[in-house]
Parts: sequence; structure tokens; C-alpha cells
Amino acid sequence: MSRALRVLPFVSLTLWAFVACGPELSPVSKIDTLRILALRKSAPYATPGEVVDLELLWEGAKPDEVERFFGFWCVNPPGNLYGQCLTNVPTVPPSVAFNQDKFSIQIPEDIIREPAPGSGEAAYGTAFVFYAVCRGHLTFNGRPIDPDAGQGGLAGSGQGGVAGSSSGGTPAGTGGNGPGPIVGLPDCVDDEGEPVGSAGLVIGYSQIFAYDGYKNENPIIDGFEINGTKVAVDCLNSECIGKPYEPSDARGCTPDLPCFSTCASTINTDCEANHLRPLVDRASAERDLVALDTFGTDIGESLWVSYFTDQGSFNGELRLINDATTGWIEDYKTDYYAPKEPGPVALWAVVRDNRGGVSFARVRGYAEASDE
Amino acid sequence: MASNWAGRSLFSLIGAVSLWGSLASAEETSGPETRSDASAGGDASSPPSPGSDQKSEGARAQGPKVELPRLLEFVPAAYPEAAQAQALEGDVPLELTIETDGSVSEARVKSPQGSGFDEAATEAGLKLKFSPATVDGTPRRVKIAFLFPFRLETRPPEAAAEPDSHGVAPVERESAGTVGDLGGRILISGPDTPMPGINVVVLDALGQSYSIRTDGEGRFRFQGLTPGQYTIQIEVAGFQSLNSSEEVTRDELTELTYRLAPLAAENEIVVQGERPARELTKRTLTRREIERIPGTGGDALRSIQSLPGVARPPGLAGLLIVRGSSPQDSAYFIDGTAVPLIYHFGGLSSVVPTELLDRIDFYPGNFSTRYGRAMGGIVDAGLRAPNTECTGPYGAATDKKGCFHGMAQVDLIDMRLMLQGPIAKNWTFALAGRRSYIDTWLKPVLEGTGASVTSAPVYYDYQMIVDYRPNPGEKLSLRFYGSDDRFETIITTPSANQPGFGGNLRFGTGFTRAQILYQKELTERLSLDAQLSVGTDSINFGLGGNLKFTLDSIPIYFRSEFGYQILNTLRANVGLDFSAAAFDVFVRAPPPDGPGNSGGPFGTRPSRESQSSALGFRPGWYGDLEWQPNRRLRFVPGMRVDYATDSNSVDVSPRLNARYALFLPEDAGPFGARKTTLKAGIGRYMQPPQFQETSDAFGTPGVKSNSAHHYSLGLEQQITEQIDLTVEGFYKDMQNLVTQAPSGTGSVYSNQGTGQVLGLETWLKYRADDRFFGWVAYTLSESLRTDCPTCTTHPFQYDQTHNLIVLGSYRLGRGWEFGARFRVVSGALATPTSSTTPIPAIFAGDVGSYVALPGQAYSERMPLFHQLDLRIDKRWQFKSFRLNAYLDVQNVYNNPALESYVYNFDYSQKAYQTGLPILPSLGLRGDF
Repeated sequence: MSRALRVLPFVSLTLWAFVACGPELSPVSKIDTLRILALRKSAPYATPGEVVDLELLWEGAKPDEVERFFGFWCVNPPGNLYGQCLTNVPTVPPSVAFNQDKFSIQIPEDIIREPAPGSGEAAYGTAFVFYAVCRGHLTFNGRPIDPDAGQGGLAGSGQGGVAGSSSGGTPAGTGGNGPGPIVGLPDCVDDEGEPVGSAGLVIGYSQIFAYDGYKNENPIIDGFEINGTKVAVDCLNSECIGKPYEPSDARGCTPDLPCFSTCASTINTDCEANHLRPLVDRASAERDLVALDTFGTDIGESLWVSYFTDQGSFNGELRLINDATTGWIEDYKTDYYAPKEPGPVALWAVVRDNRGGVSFARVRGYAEASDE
Repeated sequence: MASNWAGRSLFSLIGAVSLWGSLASAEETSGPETRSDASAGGDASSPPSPGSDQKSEGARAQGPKVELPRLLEFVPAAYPEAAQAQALEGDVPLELTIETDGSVSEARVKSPQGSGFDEAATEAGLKLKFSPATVDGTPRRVKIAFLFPFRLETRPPEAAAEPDSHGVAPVERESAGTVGDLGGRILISGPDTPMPGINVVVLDALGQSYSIRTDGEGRFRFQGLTPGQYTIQIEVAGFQSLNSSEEVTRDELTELTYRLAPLAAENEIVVQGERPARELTKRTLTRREIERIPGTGGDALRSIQSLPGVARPPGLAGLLIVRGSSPQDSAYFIDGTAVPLIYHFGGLSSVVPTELLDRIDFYPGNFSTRYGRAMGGIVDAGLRAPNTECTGPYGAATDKKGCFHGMAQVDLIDMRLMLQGPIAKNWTFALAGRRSYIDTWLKPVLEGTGASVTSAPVYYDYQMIVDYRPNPGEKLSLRFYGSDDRFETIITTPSANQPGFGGNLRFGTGFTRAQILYQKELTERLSLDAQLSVGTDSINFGLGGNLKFTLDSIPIYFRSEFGYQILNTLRANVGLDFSAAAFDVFVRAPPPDGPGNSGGPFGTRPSRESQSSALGFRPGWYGDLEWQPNRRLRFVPGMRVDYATDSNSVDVSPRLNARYALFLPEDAGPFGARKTTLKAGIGRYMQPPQFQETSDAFGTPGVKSNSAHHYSLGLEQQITEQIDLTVEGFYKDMQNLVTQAPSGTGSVYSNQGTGQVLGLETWLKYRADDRFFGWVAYTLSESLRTDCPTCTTHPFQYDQTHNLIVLGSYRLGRGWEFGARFRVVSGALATPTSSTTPIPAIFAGDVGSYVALPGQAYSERMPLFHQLDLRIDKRWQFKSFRLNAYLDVQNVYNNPALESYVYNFDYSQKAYQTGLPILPSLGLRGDF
């Protein structure tokens, strides 16, 4: 019985290796290409029939350079696997939107499915939305998308379940036809028709859980703190949507622009460490009532913050704020090291819980040449 | 007619002395002389008889007390005049037949040297006098190897004159009052008989060496030496080397008496030399090989990874991958009782220390019906009987009975202690324990990475043995042993790609076993081998709130086997192999992903929980026949039936092994009087599904056992006295493998997987003699899996096409030994990201990380792995104890072993994840 558990020591070491070592690769915290930072849902746990508003936070390009795509056509895929949405025909009447940063979907009334007998689970349903941002021109199967086609239109693509707004679907929750290669992903090409790859295309998905009676709120960010001082926030949550960061014309620090000393050394520890963190309300760490009612386990949410910047670096890109079992972790700040060259910088903090909740904030600053 | 216990003892004796290449065969009083084989080779030529060793291997390993022959009177070989005139030197290996009175009846030159050396050595060998080998006090006729060295004298330049009749090398004194003399006598420790004709070497402070031979009384004397410090070195085959510093004083004779201790006392073997009759292929290693294989830290079970058919595990994984099978397909036993682990944390060391092992049986495939519920390989380690043999100064034999022995070892990883000795008449004991202290240095390292370490990795194990042996045919052994590994930390900076991998990471595993073994010769033809064990298994793994696994179980094992000698050519073995476990298990984890899909990092789906308590039974019945119609042929047909309550399946496993001696020593084979044996095996092997695979919450109740058919065909060729060649081809056809079911089928697992493994193992081994051991092992194999009937066939995760291991260890003299191991292995397999999608990964918005879009499973191979490990040992023999220091350096030239790919956050960049860098390990060990 326990033979399979021989791999556990290996798993433990692998987990540790995830944290402790590995060669240098481009860090996730550095925003120097087109990136999606978050998709925020008005209701991470929705109820059947509820309209859920979705907001897409993307950065790394100007709005007029980027084509966006939103799509919703999958409910309760087999195994709750997103890939099943892409390999099988839609399970809800598809709806899509182009070049919008906000999108609303209505959760089907019949989304909730009874759990497997004996599983002990609460009844729930899941809905998947897909989205993409492209620094170029979106295509499906080599065919361009016609932004003017409006919701549900892909010009002559014939893509199953996408070309028509209400055709090709099967009733919600019927499952798929079996495994297969992932198809149906959009591509992104430049003006010459060449694929732009990961630097110019990001495709994402998000999942909305639907319960009768259970709710989950997005984390609450009360502000931002740098070196122990609360600073002005450039934008918070909805304020950031559709307004990707553009460097200001500032030529130095101002009372409203936090100041950092440039870091000439390639070794961070030789430079000034700036302690920063979003001010997260402790109420953000909710109790997981689903786990409590289903399994009798009184645990909280896992809560963590991801840090991003366009200039400089961190000594920790992701910090745990609340552990599901051990609770709140007071010291979730990270150290920020300013870039070598003076100039404006931007900092982002994206706070997530493990049940689909997310909030974010953006702060502007200025890296000023140090006296040394 | 000798008892079976006596028969077993002969094999022990054979194995024991063959360690130093000295005892090559043993002879029953009523049977023909048979040649032993300390390697995988066996001899189908010996018809089984009630007096021969045709019993269960478990019983065979527990032989009675064996006394090895010891040299009592040494006779020097006369240096051939012609050779001396031509300044020739040489070493003549002899095979001596020692009679029950200790006399030498035959001296055969094993490797002729010519120049008159062979004749001189033969003449001297026939005059040697030994104490007889005994088994439980009964003298036995045996054969041993013995080396006669011929070394020229190098006297001090002043000593132009011949030494006198007392071995004195006279020096014409430069002037009275400016020189001194150094002289003495060399005796055999114990009987104190002189050692004539041996070389005594002295080195002065400048490194200049002089040598003379002792006279007929074992005396020597250097005259006219400049006062100062000198080093005396004496090396005689079969004896402890002597390396002593002495002071020469002006106008004085420094006179010394040295007693050289015979080596036999230390040459016990760990793995018994003879292949059990029922097994087709068994890999064996001697204690010296185990302790000296570079790169293993002297760890017994890690040394298995240097054998053919065993794949190199990934960096820090303590996994055993046998003949292309998954690690969980192999089973581990300690004296027949299953244990969940054989390696501590990260594979750093075994859960049983080498010092407490009597044997390791490793069966890579086609094992007998004695073992079931596994379709990979079998490792069965046997704990040793406590050693109460008494030795005198410098290890010399004494007549004293019942002595205590102890051992202490410390290295950079752990420290261990062992004590053994008598309790009362027929009762003996052994106690051992080990604790790692990785925590003392790893905790600061982990904290440096930002982890808040609650409990740094630590492991310990312990063993207690009490043996009762009222007579040679009966043995009762009580054991209690266990192991524990723990690690706990808080990860506050999870990986950006796996944010769910954060929080409190804890891992703990442990087991205990209380075991009773009972073996008895019920009649001359009927034997019983029984055991009962009860213990605990506990596993605790957790990470944050999403992952938690705890298992507490009380496993009970009962095995009883009867062996009955029906005819001289036929023996039957029947047994019951019963396993039961009461367990409590709690699991909280996300459900598994479907095939070809990645459901995203942890945290994207709510965890499921399962808590259950149950009592599972897995009884098994087995039986086989050992039929040897003539000296050349042996058949072992068998049948095993298993039942498992958790999967409610009955598994029937027929098996057949056969061996045919193509050439016996008396035949004129391709290599002269050497054995050539063909062997073949076919069998069915069933393995019940793992716990999680039949779990209501995480698996699919009703999935049945995995099955595999093993086919093997091989050749064993003895090339010289020391060199054996084994070539074995194997094929495994695996059916009904439990794999993840296709999504949408409503099942998590199904029995739709299949697999094939095809391979060829080649093992060219130089069996350990008094100087050297080593081998070349090469395995060529291909291991494939198909997860469902419509799925694409892909290589097995740990498939390694080529695996070449070359290793050797050489005794340099003066207590020094040097070893090297070089490995060249096909690179590890990796699954690349998709090349057919516009991007290699998709953004999982709920957790903020990317999920790779996988390409063809395990379709990319890392570059070739190669690594050199070196080891050097130095041993000092003191009057009442031995001290050994070693330096074991893994990955000497710091080759960055490329274990896998690592990717950046969106999988658009990748680099190699490298394995262990150069890793030196320094250790010190003392024995008394």
C-alpha cells in the first residue's frame, strides 16, 4: 500500500528545489513584454444566474498596439479541466468580445451538479472563460479575426462553437468526446504575418466556481507601503483597467513620487533595499466554509502577493500572506532594488487567494542617482 | 549424512574466504568436490541431496558458526637462483587444499609465473601448516588461495657481505660510536611461530629503502644504520600489513618482535556467494565490495545501483529502478518482511547500516514464487547474526569463547554505533543505531534561502537483534528495528509558477518492525522456515492548506515455508505469505489531472478530502519444485496465488526457471576447465493497485492488479578463476497497468495501460582477491508505455538506453586502498512543451502563473550523463582495534549532470537543471 509513497521524499526535495535553486532565467516580476497580470471577477464564487463582471489587467504595451479577446463557452468540462473546453465542442452558447477590457457573463441557472455519491463534496459547478492579448493581429487557424464582427463573430473561421453565437453547442454539463490535442487557441501575428510568440501573445483562462450559498470575496488592499511609509497609489483594481502603465515625464522625485536610489552594482545586496508591500486587510483571509461544512476542516484561505516592476528587481517575487493552516504572516514585504539608470519606475502588487479572488494596485516611483 | 545446516555452512565458508580470493571450494565428506561461485553464476551440476544446500535461501543465509583456516607455520619459498641472478621478482598464486588436520594435501599454481617461481612456491606451499576450517567445531576440508611473493633484497650499500645465518646484514661501520643496529623477529600472531624468508623493508628519513629476508627463525637485523627515525614495513599476503616507526640509537641494537595477524578474521562476507537453487538470477556483492565501491559512501543498499539492470535515479531521488520498471514496482524486504523504504531522505543512506547486514539478495527479474505482489525487482536484505568470535592482539585467533565487538563510524552525513556480543549460553545480541546531523548545516542553508525552518532534515535508524541457537539445526531470532525521517519548514516565498507550493512544508516517514524468525530442521528431509512481524508505518506529508497526507498503519506479516526433499533429485517448497494491515489514512489534495491535460497549479481547484480506516488482507500461497534430473539440468516450476481484499482480485502467477550446464569444469569448454551455464526463465508477476488507485475519493474502486510476464535468457561463463561473464537478455510484457483513465469516462483510473521492456545485461566481473576487485556492467534497454488503447506509445519516464558502469578498487599496500567508479548513462527523459501551439504555456488567471502545454511525452532526452567517483581508504591495525579513514569523492571532475529542464515563468526560455556537484565525504571508523 505504501510503496507509491517512496516518491514522497523526492517530491519534498523537488518542492524545496523549486524554491531554493535553479539557473537564472528571466524573472516573472520583470514586465518588459506584453503581460496579463490578473483577471478580476466581481464574484469569485458565484451563484447560479448571477452576472459576473470580469476585468482584465494587462501591461507592457499601449492600448492601440494590443488586440484583446474574451470568450466564454465552457461549463463543467469533464474533470473540471480547462483543456477539455479547448478540445471539445462548447457546453454553453458561446459569447465572445473583442478589444474590450471588461466582459460580463451570466452563470447558467443549471450549472450546479450533484457531486459523486460518497465523495462528501458540496454541490458546485464551474465555468471557464478564456482571453488573450496580442501585440499584433489575432488569428484563428491562420484566419484573421474581424473585430467588427462583434460578439460571437470570427470572420469565416468556421471554428466549432465560435463562429456562431448560438450554434454548435451541447447542453451544459454533458461532457466532451474524450481526450485530444489542445486546439482552438488563437495566434498572434505581426504586420508581416509572422507569429510574435510569447513576447507578444498571452492566452489565459479563469475559472468561476458556482455554489448555492457560499461566497468568496476578493482580497482587500488598503494602500501601499514603502520603507514603512504609506505612499500614494497610482491605481487600484478597476482604476487600472484599460490604462496600462506609461512612464511619466518626471525628471526627479516629488512629494507624490516615491524615491529610490539607483543601484549600480549587479549584486543586489550592495545596494539599498527598499521594503515594500501592499497593505492587505486581515479580513481578506476568509474562512473556507466549503471545507468546513464538507469536511469539518476549519482552515483559511491561502493568500499571497506577487510583485512586479518595469525597472529594477526584487529579492522575492512572491510572498505568502496567509497560510491556510498556520494563519497570517505579518512579514510579507519584499525588498526592491532600483535600476542602474535613473528614471521613472512602476511597481505592481497583485494579491490572490486560492479560491479565485484577486486584487491589485500600482504605484509609481522614481529612481534617482545615488550620491555615491 | 551431513545436515542441511552443515550444508549451508559450507556455502558460508565458501563465500567468506572467497572474499579475499582464497577459498575457492569446499568438499562434503560424502560428495564430490564442487566449485563455489561467489558471483551470479550457479552450478547446476550438483544434484540436490539432503546433505547439500538445496533449501530456502532464507534459511541458507543463517548458517552456523564457521571458523576459517589460519596459518600456524610459515615456510618460506626458496628464491630460484636463476631468477635471483636475473633480478626477477614475481607473485605466485596457489590454490591449497587444506585437510581436516590442517595439513596441505595439494598446492596448485593458479597463474604460472615461470623462472622457477612456481616450483618453489608449490614446494613451500605443501609444507605450510594451518588450523583446520571448522563448521560448528567440526573440521572441514577446504581449498584456499595463497600468494607467495618473491622479492629481491635491497641491502644498505655498506652491507656488501652476505647476511649471516641469523639474517644479519652486516655493515662495515664508518666509525665506532656513530651508528646503530635495528633487528628483531617476525612471528605469526597467535601461535607465535616464526615467519622465515619474508621481506623486511626499512626506510630512512630520506626515503631510501633497504630490505632483507628473515632467517629460518624469523629473525632479521640491519647493521650500521645512521641513528635516527626509521620506518619498518612488512607485507605478507594473508596477513595484516605492518608499518611501524622505530628509533635507531647510536651504539645500540634496537631489537623488536613483530607479530603479524592473519587476515582471515576480518574477511566475512555480506552477500552469500551461492545462488539459491530456486532463483534464476541473483546479483551478489561481498562486504569488501560494498564498503569500497566509490560514490556510495560504503552504503550497502546504494551499492546495488552499481549493478547491471539498475538505472541511475535522478539526482537526489532514493529510488530503485530495475529493468525498466517503475520504482513502486519493486519490493523491499528485511529478512522476508516488507518495509516501505530502503533509503533515507534523498537516498543519502540505507535504512539499515552496512555493518549489520549479513546479506543482500537482489533479484532483478524472474524471481521465484517465494516473492509476490511485485512486477519489478526484489531486494531482500538479511540482518547478520551477532558476532561473538574472540580474537587476540592484532586480530589473532584465540581459544576464548564469547567476546564483545563494537564499531563507531562518523562521516559528514551521519554517525553510527554498534555493539554485539554474548548474553548467555546460546544467546547473543547486537545493537546498532545511527543519526544524521545534516540538520546542523542544512538548516542555516535553508534559512538563507528565506525558508523558516522548523525542523531541518534529520534521519535515524536503530536495530536490535537477539539470537538463540540451541543447536546447529535450530535458530530463533528476535529483531526490532526501525527508521525515521523528518523535515519541516515554512516556505514564505513560493515559486512564482507554483504559488500553491507555499506555507508549512512538512514531511515525515517512519517504520518499526518487531520480527520473530524461526528456522528448524524438523527431520532430515523436512525443514521449516517461519517468521512473524508486527510493526508500524507512518507517513506525514503536508504543504500549506491544499495538500495533506497522513498514513498510520499496523502491518502484520506472516510467512512460513516448508521444504521437503522428496527424492535426491527433487525437492518441494510450499509456503504461506500473509500480509495484513490496519490503517488510518487522511488525504487532502486536488483531484488528479486527466491525460494530455494540465489542470493548472494547485489552488485552481478545491481540494478533496478523504479519511478512512480499514483492515486490508493480502494472503498468498506459493509452491515450487526443484527438480535436477542430472548434474547439468535444473528445473524450478512454481505457482503462486495471491488475493487482495482492497482490489478484490485473485492473481495466479505460474513461473518456470531452468538452468543447463553446457560445460562443467571437467569438460573441455571454450575456456578450459571452466563452467558454462545457460539459463532461462518465464513467469507471470502480479501487483495489486496502489492505495490511492482504489480509493473512493481519489481513485476508482474496482481496478485490478497490474500484470507482467518476465522472459529471460542468459549465459554465465567462468573465464578464469577470478573472472566471470554474465550475459542476460530480458523482455517484460506488461498488461492491465493501472493508468489514469481518459477524461469523460467517469473513472479516474483504469487497467488500460500496457508496457514493454526489452534489454540486455552484460556483467564482466573480477571477483575480489587480496588486491583487487572490479567489474564492467553494461545494460542496453528500452522501456515503453502506452497509457490507453488509443494513446500514443511513449518511453517510460526513467528509460535509460545505455548504462555503463566501470569500477575497481585496488589495495596499494600499507593499509591503503584506492577505488574508482565511472558511469556513462543515457540522459534523463523530459517532456518538452508543445511545438504545435502558438505559445508554449497558457496563463492561469486565478493563480497568476502559467501552465505548460505539453508536447509528446518523454520525447526529449538530456545529454549523456557521465561521472567519475573516487575513494581512498587508509587502515591502521592496532593491538586491540582497527581504525579506518576514507575520503569518498563523488563527481570528481564536477560534471554538471543535466537532470531536467527548468523554464522561465511563461515557458518561453529553458535551461538545464543540474544535479549534484563535486561532493566529497570524509569518514572515520573504528572497530574492536
